Amino acid sequence: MRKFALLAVLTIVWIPGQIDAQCIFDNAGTISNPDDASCRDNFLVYTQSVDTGNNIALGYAVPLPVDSQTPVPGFRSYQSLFERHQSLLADFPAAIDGQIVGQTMNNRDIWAYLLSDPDTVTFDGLSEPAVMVNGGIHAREWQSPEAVSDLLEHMVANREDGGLIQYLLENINTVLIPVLNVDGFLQTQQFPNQVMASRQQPRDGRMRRKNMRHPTRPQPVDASLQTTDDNFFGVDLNRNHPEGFMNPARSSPNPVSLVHHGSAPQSEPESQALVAAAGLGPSTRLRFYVDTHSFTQILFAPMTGNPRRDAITTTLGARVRAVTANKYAWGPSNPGTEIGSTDGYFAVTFDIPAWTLETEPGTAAGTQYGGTSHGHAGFILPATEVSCMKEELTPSYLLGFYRMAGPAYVTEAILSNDSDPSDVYYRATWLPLDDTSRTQLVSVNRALVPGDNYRLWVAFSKPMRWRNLNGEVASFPGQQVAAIPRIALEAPDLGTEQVLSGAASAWLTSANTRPASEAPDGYARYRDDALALTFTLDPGLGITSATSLILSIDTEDLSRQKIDANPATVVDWQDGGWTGLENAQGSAGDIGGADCTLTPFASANPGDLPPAPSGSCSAAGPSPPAGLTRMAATQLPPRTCVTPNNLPTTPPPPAPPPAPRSGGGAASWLLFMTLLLGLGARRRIVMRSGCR
Amino acid sequence: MLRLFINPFSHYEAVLASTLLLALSCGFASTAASARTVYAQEQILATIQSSRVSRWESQFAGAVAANDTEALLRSVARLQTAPGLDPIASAYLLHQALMHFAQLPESPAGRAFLEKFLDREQRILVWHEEAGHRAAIVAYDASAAARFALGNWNRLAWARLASQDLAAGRDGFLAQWLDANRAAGGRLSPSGLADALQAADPAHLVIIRPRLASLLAEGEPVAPLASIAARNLQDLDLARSIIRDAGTADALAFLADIGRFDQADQIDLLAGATQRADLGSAALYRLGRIGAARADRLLLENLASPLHGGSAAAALSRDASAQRVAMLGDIVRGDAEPLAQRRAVLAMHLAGNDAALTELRSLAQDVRVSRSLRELIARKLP
Repeated sequence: MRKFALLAVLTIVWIPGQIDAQCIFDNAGTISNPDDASCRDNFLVYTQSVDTGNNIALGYAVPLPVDSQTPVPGFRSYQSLFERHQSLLADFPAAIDGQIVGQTMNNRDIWAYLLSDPDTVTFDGLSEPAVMVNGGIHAREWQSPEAVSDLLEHMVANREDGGLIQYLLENINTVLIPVLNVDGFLQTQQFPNQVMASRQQPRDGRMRRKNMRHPTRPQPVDASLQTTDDNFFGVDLNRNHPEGFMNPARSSPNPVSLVHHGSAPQSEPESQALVAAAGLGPSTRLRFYVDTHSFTQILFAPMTGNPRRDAITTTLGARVRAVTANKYAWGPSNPGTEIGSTDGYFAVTFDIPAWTLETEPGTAAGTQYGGTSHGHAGFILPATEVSCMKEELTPSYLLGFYRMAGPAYVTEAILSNDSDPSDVYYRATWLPLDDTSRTQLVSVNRALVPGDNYRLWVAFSKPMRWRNLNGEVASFPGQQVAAIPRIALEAPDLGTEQVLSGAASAWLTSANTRPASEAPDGYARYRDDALALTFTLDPGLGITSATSLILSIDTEDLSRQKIDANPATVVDWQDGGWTGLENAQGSAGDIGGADCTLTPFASANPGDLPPAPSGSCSAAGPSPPAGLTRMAATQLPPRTCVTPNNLPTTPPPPAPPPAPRSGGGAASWLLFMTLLLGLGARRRIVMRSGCR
Repeated sequence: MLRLFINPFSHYEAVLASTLLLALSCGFASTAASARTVYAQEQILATIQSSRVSRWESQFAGAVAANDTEALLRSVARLQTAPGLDPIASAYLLHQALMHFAQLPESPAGRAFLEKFLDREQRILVWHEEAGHRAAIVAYDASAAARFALGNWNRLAWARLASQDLAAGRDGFLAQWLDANRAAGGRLSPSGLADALQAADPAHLVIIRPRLASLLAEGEPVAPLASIAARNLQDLDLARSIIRDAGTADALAFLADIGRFDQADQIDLLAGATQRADLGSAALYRLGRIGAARADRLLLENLASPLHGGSAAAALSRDASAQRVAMLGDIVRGDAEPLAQRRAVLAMHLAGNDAALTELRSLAQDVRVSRSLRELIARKLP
């Protein structure tokens, strides 16, 4: 009787789970019956806690776009993000420029923003390099436009920080595209909780990935979910580029496929806009490209087979990943396996480090925040986690930009009387001759006298250290650099040296207040780009007559990139590697090394003239000094985001008694109960024992 | 008389079922935990579309349709002994079954069964393809499904408790929830209480309104509840308290649903929200949608705000009527602060309609406008 009742119910109610059978998938995971009404017209709704019928529960609140220019705990609407960018453009024209780089299938403008100072040269007059970050290429990956916008906002807000950001703005061109696939993004925001097709592979609405290309006509598909015009069409803009175009392993000619590659490389207006945006760099000056996606928390980095580029990319990836304590995994691919994605295009075409950044969540997808395990839920980051994602990613981007701005070099060194900054003994400055070379101008060179007290001021081409919130020198998150360089005065002819750096050394965080003729008391151009130390020239060096000295400086920048050992050759980027970057032995490469180009001299007789420089420094010899002593690791501030759930550590309040149930005769229940009482008593023992 | 037998039966039936399923859950957990195989999406899709899987799902659906928790427990027990189910089907079906518990009445046996899965790694991994690479992501996570079902039961339990208290004119559920939330490190969702308040008779909301207001003022996380009370009671004072004291997310959520208040009250509340740095922009956008003269005046006044002037400009631009454009033009021609004038120009640029472009062209030629502003306008004109 009870079974019969159950069957009767089954015939009249919808059966959960059956709905997935309405879309049929082929062997490539593509919907094979897109024109069947049962698939095409199948609407599904994301909810927090209802998973029945056509509802898909996420287990956390479904984020809705918010109209706000200032960041919110969640996602902003496309319109207000765009207006935010435009407001910043209007308010801070010296720091940000904006260009329309193309139009979407629906003729909406695609904007790229150039963060830079108005000139096109670095502080020392060289052509500025460029970096580029793309966002919003896949419509449903809302993390991406927020991440790129946060980077933009952070750089504009800190444009006059006197340190890292100001350095980046004044010395590189940063091209940012917050939203490339504007049409698709707008569709996802128009339907923030609606999707089509199947619970297994929800499509369109909130889960649109591709652009709005219709396969057989020039007009785009419409964005409405109520019409059948769309039919899951569109081109995957991350399969539409020349390197690996039409790779059958990872893309599809089927216009219904999620990874449809389109009709030809860069056939899509959005792809062409990306190329145009690179031109703002300009593209010939590009050194780094990031395409921002979600999710799985990994950097997918194409390897091109150029060993230098690949090695630099791998090291850069390690440094960037260290910012977030390696919570982002590293995913290099083999050369020749490109799939028409943008990272492959930039990596191969421009021979630069390039990768696809997949933001959080990690591979646990929505379950990472206590949600359900609908795999696609990873595309829907809880609103409560968005600010933390941005706080972690922005420093990661910035470190990458900083490192690819190029290795630092010593721009100037001044030795002066410890107590009289106007009493200068040695002053050497590197001056650019052209785009590839510099000359060292030694404007003062007087004998240092053993036993006398001196002050060394040495400046670098970029901010070299980071400061924590207390203003103390600290490692940039995850970088663990040495607090102080190893600086020594070496007397090669005598085989002696005096290590100068130590407790009396300090990175300078205040602006210089002294006239140009004197030794500065502050930084050169940016906070912490200069170091000062005091010392007494050690009589134990054995100096009596005029003796040539080498001021050796061994240090890394705040991304742990060693400095250029020979500033005479300008460091630049070509063919996938650095040019003009030498190590202490003078060999060109991608590593750098100790600078031994500064050659003051000493003598017991202050009136002696400088001798000809001679010898080589120990850093260039067979037994270089021991490595630098690194500071303790620092990390980003602890994550504070909380996604509430209904599973507290304390039990919920007691439920009211269950409602009475109907059916069955009293006698049969009594019989059942009698039987089960015995069984239950036995089983309870098992239950207590658990399954460990 | 019947009831006397039914309830004890339910208990012992539950004990039996939970006992059987304890062993079952252990079996599931140990089998799947040892095999973290990653499957192609198409392989998973093919499996779960099979008729055999559908038959199992029908069984689960039957239990759901009958609103019978113990029947679902029995179905899952049969699943364990079903011969020849491959790992994908097994994990998928277990996951589906666990999710179904969320819509069934809570039972001790069901709770005990679900709790066994909370810390168990029981996952099917599926390749997620991207950028020429693949990552194995979690699909059909039994622990997540159990968490979901238990969470829903907890939510309902909180809702029941709150409803009972409200009906009895008590506010004790608030203190109970706050204690539990503190114990949970602030991670407890108030959604169950919110469900109850949303469904409550306004007469009952009035009773807890003072307590909600005082808790809100004390910084307790009751803003989502206070928001429901404020909206359903049209309580302007409580609404002001929310805008003043609630955290950003809760206050923004309240602003998003402010339309239930009278237009004049909305404008007052939004004007208050513009005073908060974290709410100001959203409040200005809301003001822009109202379209009333007083709202527009507020927007125009905010053009000079260093923090929110851009938002005021954007809000004015979204429905840039000829009247709005004329007001913006007057600001550019007049003696307003230069920042406000630049934002007025921005508003017209963002509007980009005929009225705005015509006005901008006129301003570019108008000697009453500063030279620098005229140059800016001319540079940006299409």
